[in-house]
Amino acid sequence: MLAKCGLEKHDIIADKLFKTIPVLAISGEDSALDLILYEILELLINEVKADIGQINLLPKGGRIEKLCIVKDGKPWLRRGKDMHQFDPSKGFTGVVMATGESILVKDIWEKGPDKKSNPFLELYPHLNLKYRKNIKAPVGSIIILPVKRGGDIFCTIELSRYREKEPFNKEQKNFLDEFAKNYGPLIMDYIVDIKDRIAINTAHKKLIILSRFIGSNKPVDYTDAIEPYIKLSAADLGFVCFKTGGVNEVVYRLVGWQGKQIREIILHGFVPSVNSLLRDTDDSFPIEGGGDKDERLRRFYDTIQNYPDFEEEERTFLLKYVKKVKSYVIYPLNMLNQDLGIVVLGSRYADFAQFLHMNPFLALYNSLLKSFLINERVIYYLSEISLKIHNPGFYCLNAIKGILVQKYPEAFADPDLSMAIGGLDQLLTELHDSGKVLQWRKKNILFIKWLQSYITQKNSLLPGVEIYLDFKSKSLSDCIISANEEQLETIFENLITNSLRAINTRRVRDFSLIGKIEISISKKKDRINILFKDNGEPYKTISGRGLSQIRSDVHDLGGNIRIFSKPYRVFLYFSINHKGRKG
Amino acid sequence: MKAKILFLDDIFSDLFRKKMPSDQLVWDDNWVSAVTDAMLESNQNTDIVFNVIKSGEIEAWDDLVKKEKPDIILLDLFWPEQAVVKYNDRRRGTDISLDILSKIRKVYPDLPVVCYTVKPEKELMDKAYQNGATFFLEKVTLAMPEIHSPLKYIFIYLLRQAENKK
Repeated sequence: MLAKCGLEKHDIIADKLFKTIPVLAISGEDSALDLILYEILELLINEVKADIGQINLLPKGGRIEKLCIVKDGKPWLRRGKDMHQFDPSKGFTGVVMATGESILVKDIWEKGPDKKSNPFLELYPHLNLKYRKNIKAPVGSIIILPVKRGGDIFCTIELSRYREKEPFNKEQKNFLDEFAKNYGPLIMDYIVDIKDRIAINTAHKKLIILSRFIGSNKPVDYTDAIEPYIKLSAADLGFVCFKTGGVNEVVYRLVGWQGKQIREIILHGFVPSVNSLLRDTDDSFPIEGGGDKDERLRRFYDTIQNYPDFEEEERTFLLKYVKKVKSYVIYPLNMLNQDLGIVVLGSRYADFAQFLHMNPFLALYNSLLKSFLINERVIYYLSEISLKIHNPGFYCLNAIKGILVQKYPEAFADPDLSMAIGGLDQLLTELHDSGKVLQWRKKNILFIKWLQSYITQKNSLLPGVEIYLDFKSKSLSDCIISANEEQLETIFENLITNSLRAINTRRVRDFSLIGKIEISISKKKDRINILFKDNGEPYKTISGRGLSQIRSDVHDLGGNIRIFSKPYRVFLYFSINHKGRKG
Repeated sequence: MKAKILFLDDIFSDLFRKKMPSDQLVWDDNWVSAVTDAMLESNQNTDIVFNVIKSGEIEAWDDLVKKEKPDIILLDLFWPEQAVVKYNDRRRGTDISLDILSKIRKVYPDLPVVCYTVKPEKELMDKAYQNGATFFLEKVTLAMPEIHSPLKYIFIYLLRQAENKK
């Protein structure tokens, strides 16, 4: 039947995938990628009767990771399991990487004539314990397929069968080879595109958050700012050292990550060592390094050991951390002759630097982060100038006036001198005020007008989700609230993001779901009441960050917020600013 | 008659004094002496003896007020170093004092609080009054007691107002 239609089995599989993937991709979140990968593996697993399937991504300049593992028909690899990173040069994957050819191993436990002839047995003791027990121990035979872009392997697909079963055969390998050759690059390229799109979304969201922080009177959340480096690079550990503060008072903030763990350590009075990259340096970046004899790592280790102001627990954390780094790439955060710090992308694997370089998206994020940091520094310098003029500037100038009045009244009466002092006073006042120009201020905002334009933008950016505004009272359009666009954006952005998560959680079961978010607005006395609902379903939250941010911003606007879980509703209100009414 | 003034200014705080070089602190100290002299000089015209308690511990306002039982608080509005500690942002110096002002007002609704700042702005004045200031004044940074003498008469007015309320 298939032959009659001119279609091979792998064409049918590809056809199914081409129909399903775009529907799954619609949410544009990490969860979409998981669903797509699961779908691909499930189809291949069913076709060759495999028990376990894995898709690994190995781009140069990006994350080397196990994207998806399916065992007994269920996704096995969960996000945050700290097992995503792996060394592609080892094991049978290493053989595929070296030869560029697929491989069929009938018994992965079979010892060769000498120890080295089975690369899996060599790697086995170093594998993650859970992975070893659940994914490798029960397996007998495997097929690993390379997926190439030009001559470069950028992905491998691994299928495994349990020991007690018949091993894979040549026909099955040929079928998979044919599929990988014809469709592998196309499907995986599409997946990489989706991944990149998600990555851009992540970087974009972080940049917006960062820009809001800079546009507000809130300090930058450095822990949040480094997340794109964790998500978009192959570094399984690394840190960004931010140089903050003014000319005379430098404060270094070291934000490091290791797997899921992120820590910020503030180094007051820290003086970088003579050859440190945190000083002005002639080194050309990015710098690659690593290995046991690496001078830079050794020096950093010594600095941590001898720095007096660490809590012991911080010191232990950092020392353990530096010891784990086997290779690294360092990027500077330099702009307009300002040292803003460094980014260190590290790995627990030796000779891994080639994979650690930033991909284009991360490089873009890095550049924009530098601009934001320099903006932050300019604001700091300006406020420092204003502060110095405030004190001792005005005190000093008035001391001159006082001395003249008391000791040299004739001189003070001299119109030329009074004019000079008056001019100086004016100049200082101008500089003092200029230093406060870049300051966050609340303003009078026509709330409904703002919300309508914000939701119009959101609706155009979110395919598959419809946001409705429902006005329950008359004369809402005149309501003015005293706020700032950044604050309002933060509140609504967080609420919509929460709803999108809830909608995507329901989408896992129901691909065709059209997400609906309903915002009802009414007016009662001096308040604008807002009721926020969606058609998603509850999801597990890792941190309550979004919520605490919303709460603090709503309180700052003289309002309040309550969240009800069954069914999910958010009720919030803002105070109307009657004084702000024009006319 | 005696009247106690609690003078809260960042000039008296350790944080500020540690940050500022000693040759620059001279100007502040001279100014403080002038204000204090203006308050303490014998005053036959007013018949009120002022006792000035100086403190830079704004966050300890509650203990200070309980301990000293002042008749008036003279509150400087600009606390940049304290803002670095609390908000990690020196630009929020006035948020420190405005926040404390509203707290003082909640516990002591009738205690006169005179807010004091170099180079006042309308926005800051509005906020100070919103948060419960009794009087908003420009701080004149001339280190001459006679310049600060009128401050006493503002205090006397406020003391009388407070007395009438009782």
